[in-house]
Amino acid sequence: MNNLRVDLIDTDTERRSSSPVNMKMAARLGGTIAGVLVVSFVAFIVIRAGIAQKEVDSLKQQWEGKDGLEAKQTNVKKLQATLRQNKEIKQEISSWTAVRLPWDAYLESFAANVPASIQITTFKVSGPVVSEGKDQARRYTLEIKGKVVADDPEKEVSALKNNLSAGGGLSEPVDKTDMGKFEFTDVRSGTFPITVTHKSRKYSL
Amino acid sequence: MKLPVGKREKTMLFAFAGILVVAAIYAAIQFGIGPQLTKYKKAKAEKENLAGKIDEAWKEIKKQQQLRDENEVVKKELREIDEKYIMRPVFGNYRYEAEKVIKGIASNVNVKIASSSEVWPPEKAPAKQQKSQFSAYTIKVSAFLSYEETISYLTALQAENPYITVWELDVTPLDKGPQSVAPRHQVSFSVTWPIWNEDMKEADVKKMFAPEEERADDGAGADGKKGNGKT
Repeated sequence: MNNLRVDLIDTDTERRSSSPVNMKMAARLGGTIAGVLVVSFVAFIVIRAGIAQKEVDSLKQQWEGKDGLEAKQTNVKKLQATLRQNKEIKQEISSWTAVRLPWDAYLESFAANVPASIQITTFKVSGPVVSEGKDQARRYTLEIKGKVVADDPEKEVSALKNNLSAGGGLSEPVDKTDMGKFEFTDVRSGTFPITVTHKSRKYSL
Repeated sequence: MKLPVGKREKTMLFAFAGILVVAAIYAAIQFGIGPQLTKYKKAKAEKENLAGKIDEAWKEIKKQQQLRDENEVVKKELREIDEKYIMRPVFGNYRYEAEKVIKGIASNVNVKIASSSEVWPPEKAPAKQQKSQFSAYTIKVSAFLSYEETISYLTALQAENPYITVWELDVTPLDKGPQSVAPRHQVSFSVTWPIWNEDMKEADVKKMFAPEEERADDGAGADGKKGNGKT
């Protein structure tokens, strides 16, 4: 028996796949879906860009213009600057009070410290403006010269110096006290200079 | 349309189609999606930026009334300080006013001033120096006073104006007089007043501290004096 086999299908063009998914169909479907997706994405972007631009335009309307928020905010900023400037002026002028020496308390406290045996011949207080770092201040210095008549005149003057240095001596806080050379005029009397430097009073800004 | 039969032709066709598809995708991105995406991103960023600015602006605008009220309080205090305590020149001269104060207080505490001299020109304000809107006008005063009178005088002087500073005092005892009278000393002291800087004109100062409603009415008042309420 000779079996004759004739293949009538052109293998390249006429062969059909047994698979339910046709490659051509799948490609078309994929292409269409991809196309739709791309178009949808573009449309989405275009629409969102349009919406965002409209929102921007609306915000710009609120922001710009004569009565816009920007102008109002500028006015508030100007007001803030004016207030700050006015506060600074007030603070500065108030600082003038802070550097004053309370003369009544100061002079009375000084007088209370000088014993009857001592006569003051020179009394000088000066408070020039000095720079202390970034601050300005007045540093008051008391310079006195005097005569003393006592059994132990040098000791009397030392006691005065110590009183002036001590916390309860002068009404103004003392930074340092220097006593110059004591000069005897006789055994029971002499002359002396004392310098008291006070703690500075700052212009509190 | 029928696809070519030959394998080579088919491959070429598909390759060509592939190139076309890639070119189309590139063109879509370059000329369609790209610009739209850029436009969208730009708009979004601008929107966020504006929204932030608007939020910030609203926060500040809400404080406006409070700031205005606070400023009015400070200005009122400054007006009072300015009117009562900051010395003004009379015909460009401060000495007349200063001596009026010095002698007025001397009369109140019953003492006599021997002489006075001014330090001219005024110095820079001590607190802030160059940055200040104030200057310091100083006058040196001499008198023959007892220690008690010196205390009374200086206390009265500083009480009269909380912003003046007596920063220099020199007391030199004189020969004792009669026992019945308290010993007199030669007393000299320096008093410093705050004055406005030379470039701060009277009108500018008044305008600066005028109440808001007066400032609003003051549009025509180039001299700034309109409605400032000061006699």
